[in-house]
Amino acid sequence: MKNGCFQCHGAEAQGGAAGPRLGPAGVSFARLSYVRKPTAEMPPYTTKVLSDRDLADIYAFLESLPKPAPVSSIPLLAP
Amino acid sequence: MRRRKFLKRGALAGAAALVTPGGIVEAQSPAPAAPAVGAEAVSPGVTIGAETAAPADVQVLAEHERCGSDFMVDVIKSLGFEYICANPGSSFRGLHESIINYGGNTAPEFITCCHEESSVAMAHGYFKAEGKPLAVMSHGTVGLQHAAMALYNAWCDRVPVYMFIGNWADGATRRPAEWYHGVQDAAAMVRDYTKWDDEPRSLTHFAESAVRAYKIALTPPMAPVVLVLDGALQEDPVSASLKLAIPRATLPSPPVGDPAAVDEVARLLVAAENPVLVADRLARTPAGMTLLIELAETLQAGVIDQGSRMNFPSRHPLNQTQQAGATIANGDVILGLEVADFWATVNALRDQLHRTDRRIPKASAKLVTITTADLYIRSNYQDFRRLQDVDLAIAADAEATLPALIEAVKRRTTGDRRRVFEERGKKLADASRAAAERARTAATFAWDASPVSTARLCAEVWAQIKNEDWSLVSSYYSDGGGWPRRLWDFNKPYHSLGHAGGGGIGYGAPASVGGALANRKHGRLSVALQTDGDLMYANGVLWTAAHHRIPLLSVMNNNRSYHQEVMHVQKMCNARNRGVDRGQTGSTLTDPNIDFAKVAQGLGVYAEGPITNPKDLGPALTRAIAVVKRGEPALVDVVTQVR
Repeated sequence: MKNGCFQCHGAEAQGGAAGPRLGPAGVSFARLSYVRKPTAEMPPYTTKVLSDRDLADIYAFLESLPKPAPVSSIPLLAP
Repeated sequence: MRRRKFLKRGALAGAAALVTPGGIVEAQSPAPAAPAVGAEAVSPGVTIGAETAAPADVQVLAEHERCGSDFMVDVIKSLGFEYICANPGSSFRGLHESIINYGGNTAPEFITCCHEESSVAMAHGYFKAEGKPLAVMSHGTVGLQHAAMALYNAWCDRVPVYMFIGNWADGATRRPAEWYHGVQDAAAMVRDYTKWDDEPRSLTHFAESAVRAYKIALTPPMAPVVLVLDGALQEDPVSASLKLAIPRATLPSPPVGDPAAVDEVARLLVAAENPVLVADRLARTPAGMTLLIELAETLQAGVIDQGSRMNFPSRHPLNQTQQAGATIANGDVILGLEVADFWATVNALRDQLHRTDRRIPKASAKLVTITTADLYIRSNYQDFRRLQDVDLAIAADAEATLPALIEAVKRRTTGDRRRVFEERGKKLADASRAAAERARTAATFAWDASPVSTARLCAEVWAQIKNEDWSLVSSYYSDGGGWPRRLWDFNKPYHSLGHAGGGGIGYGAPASVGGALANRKHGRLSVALQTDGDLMYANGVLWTAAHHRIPLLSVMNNNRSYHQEVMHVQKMCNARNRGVDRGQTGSTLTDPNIDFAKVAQGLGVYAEGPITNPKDLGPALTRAIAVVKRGEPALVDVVTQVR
């Protein structure tokens, strides 16, 4: 939260118009290092503002997120 | 005083007049003849009489007189306005009184607004739903300054708003307030973003300018117009026997593309392997969607609906809007139909410390535009966007040009090409189905989250309205990430009303009420996804909805911030390597949290909330819709995820 990821990716990393879904199992740790030198719209996070330890914690958080219920189990999302 | 001068000009009963467009306005009952001196009322330029004459002993309109603003109502009625929105103001008190008494407060009916920005944005939303302009009145100074932002939105969105502004030109007769409400050139401050304005000096001049303004506003590219109404022209009596003509408002047919150029576009599209049709402000009438469907199905071409108008059904197999970038990248002929920003359609700008851009389609792709934007452009405000070099540009109205283009495509399509089209159509349908499935799966993430996810919010609303004759009247900027277009079945021209055009926040709430006002007589269920920041601009429009019994379901997408700006500031924080710890400062709406249910209740609107548990949302929506179906507005405040 304090690093502001949720501002674009949502409080549960579900993603949205401003940023893709990050979890659960949304990105690998190697892929998460994209934050250091993003090539698209994402603002860069250097080690000065986001340490490697913090980045590892973020990855652990993303991995800890529960998987959602299958779409077929949610009547409101029926085609 | 000046009144005596007008008493000399003739006499006739001041009863309601019989009006036919293009005809002569006459009083309903005859009146005694009187010496006619002047032909009609004019804005007083010479005031010697006013300065020297004795006070009038008669202070009411005589039987043989009528006032200028009564005739103005005759003209306004001839143009077919259903409503006129205004926050009342003394500079147009004459016209106000004529509308409610002489005009019977019907066609137009006076809609009481609490802010001039609301008046204009209501007119903007009304037009998007109804396809007809709605009139607005305001002071020429303090009212127009309030209205200016909404006029700019309408300008950028190419929507005709028909605006009357009051002003008292003659300084010798002004009351004290009329000095600081007076202005030499009232329309000047909005002239850069209106299409035409005038300040009539006589009633004949008014009639001609009013009809001219209507024609100009409604001729593509459409845009707002302004008429300055002098106080004396409204209020001074004129002879009731005066015969004043009202010209007919015959709208010009919109410009159609040059036949040879249209045929060349058809040739390119038929020969293309991956033609792409991009529509933005294309569908200015319900026929626009029908024509685009016909063109797309004839070609089996992918369509991207950029959403300024309701151009193409969201669940049509050829709709590729959810994968627009890939579709453009793969396109070999890209046709822009009234696309406001064609450069940004075929290029990507990377907004970082050092901005860069790149072309999306391959270099060999042919780019074609059909747009009225090439017919009319202004200098100061830069809403014309970056210049994109194209292979063929047709300066014409795209909707009016589509029939000829469809015919040319059909004429050029051989059996071989038709088989290619069919194969292409199957692939596009597969891509469309896959995109819909991805959207449903994406919505499952954070499904039970609190605050409520924007996907859950939109799914809950859809479940309640999908079997109704619904109309989403809010700006699509307010829907929290495009979820309605991903989950809902948009297939009627009034299912979506686009957006503000100029990006001016504060448009959503009043435009939604305006759209709902238009939908009321059609019995449609109007729904707005209403953001918190937008509603805080001029939430008095909720009172207008309650007062005038305008049925509208407003569902708050309340993320307690100006969140787009949070992300912008965060981007600056990172670009400057300072961290985002304080990135929300100045852009959030917390401490205290705004209780929108109480705000709405205080303005006379049924309301529930704040809702933070998604399980509570469905029942609250059911109760609110029951209120809306009784003909009243209702609001459900939902606290949502920021994105």
